Amino acid sequence: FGSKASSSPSLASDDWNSSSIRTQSWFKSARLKALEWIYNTRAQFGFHFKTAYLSVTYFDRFLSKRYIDSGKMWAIRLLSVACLSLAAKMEECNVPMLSEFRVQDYNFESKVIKRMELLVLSALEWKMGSITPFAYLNYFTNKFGGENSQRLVVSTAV
Amino acid sequence: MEKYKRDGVIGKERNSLRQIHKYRRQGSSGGSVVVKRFMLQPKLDALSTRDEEASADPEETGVPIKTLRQISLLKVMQHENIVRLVEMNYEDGDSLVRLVFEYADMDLRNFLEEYAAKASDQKLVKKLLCQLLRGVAHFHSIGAAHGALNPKNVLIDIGNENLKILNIAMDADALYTAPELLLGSTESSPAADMFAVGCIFAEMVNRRPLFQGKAANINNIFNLLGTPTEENWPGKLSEVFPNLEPHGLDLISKLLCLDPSKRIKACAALKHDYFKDLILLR
Repeated sequence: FGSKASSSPSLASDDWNSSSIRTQSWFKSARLKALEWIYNTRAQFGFHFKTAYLSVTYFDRFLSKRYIDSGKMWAIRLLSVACLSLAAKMEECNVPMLSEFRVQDYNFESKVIKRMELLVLSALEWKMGSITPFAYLNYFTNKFGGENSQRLVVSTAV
Repeated sequence: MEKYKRDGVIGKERNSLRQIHKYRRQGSSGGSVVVKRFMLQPKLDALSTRDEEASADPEETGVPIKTLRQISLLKVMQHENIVRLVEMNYEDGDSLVRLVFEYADMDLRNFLEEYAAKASDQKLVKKLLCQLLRGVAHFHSIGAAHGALNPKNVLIDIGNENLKILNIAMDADALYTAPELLLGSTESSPAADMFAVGCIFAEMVNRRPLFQGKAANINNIFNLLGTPTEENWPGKLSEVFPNLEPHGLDLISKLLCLDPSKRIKACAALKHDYFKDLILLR
């Protein structure tokens, strides 16, 4: 994994411009596969949709800061596992062991996944919280209607 | 750590014998910071307490859940009445995490002792309580609870009379623990925070802890607040706070309400009549 942060922003965008169309299309399909794996695994573990959504945002945020060489599908797979595992830890009550995440074609050791988790955390500066509209709901219902109307509005919205 | 020089102890880590030290920043920037260090391994992790993680193999679980949640919370916590996380270092090799928080001139306990004359100004008490409630309200607004509020982790800057809440995993002080927790409930909650706010308010008004003694026990609380029927409420409060204005007395009784479900919430407390004549210069 290389760091984009270490090079200047203009250099980083040069990298993107000079990269061949083939690289970009490889990358697009790799991302699609990663998303597919995340959504399937979400269903398998019975995670909330928000958890899958969150892991995709981690995935994209990571790749906006670090790059993965074209063709390294294992790295994309490993990143998907780390992102879903981190999202599950943020959102879910029951979090599986790292070894329970099954990835097609590769068999990652737990300590490798853990290292990837840490790479993601440092790239994302440990800012793993997610802001959803629900976070603001109480605030606005309080502002507009006072506490009494809160329960009603929230239950209607949910 | 060359940047910081050790400068006194401020408390003890939760579930650990390790002390938390205050450091003075070297060089021109000055000011004090609090440094919290821990290993990124569930067994040694001071942030993860007594849960199933502790018994699991660290490699099997990866980055511990509680560490992850707490640090990501600290990262987004930006409020003028909450102590800021200045920097976070992570050393990959030895899994050592270091959190550096800003500090203030002193904690509330020291302030009440060393600045007795200033601290007895009831207008200042009101101003400080308002800031305390704002900080606590911010915790609660993002779905978090502090869990260990007491005068040692409420910090004061003397010059501008600013108050900031320190939020690191320190030992909870039994004297500020809500009755439902003393009676066996284990989860820290926003309501329990509000009870602690009530105790701190009382301490600011009388300049001594509300519940005295080595360990507050449920008898002390019931002695003051009455056994848990709502009829005999508010018990002896007006005797304990002879100098507190009626609105203040009303607020304190709502903060110390025995039933956590009926205890006043932070955002409601901020709208209480006690603060009606408060003009904050900001």
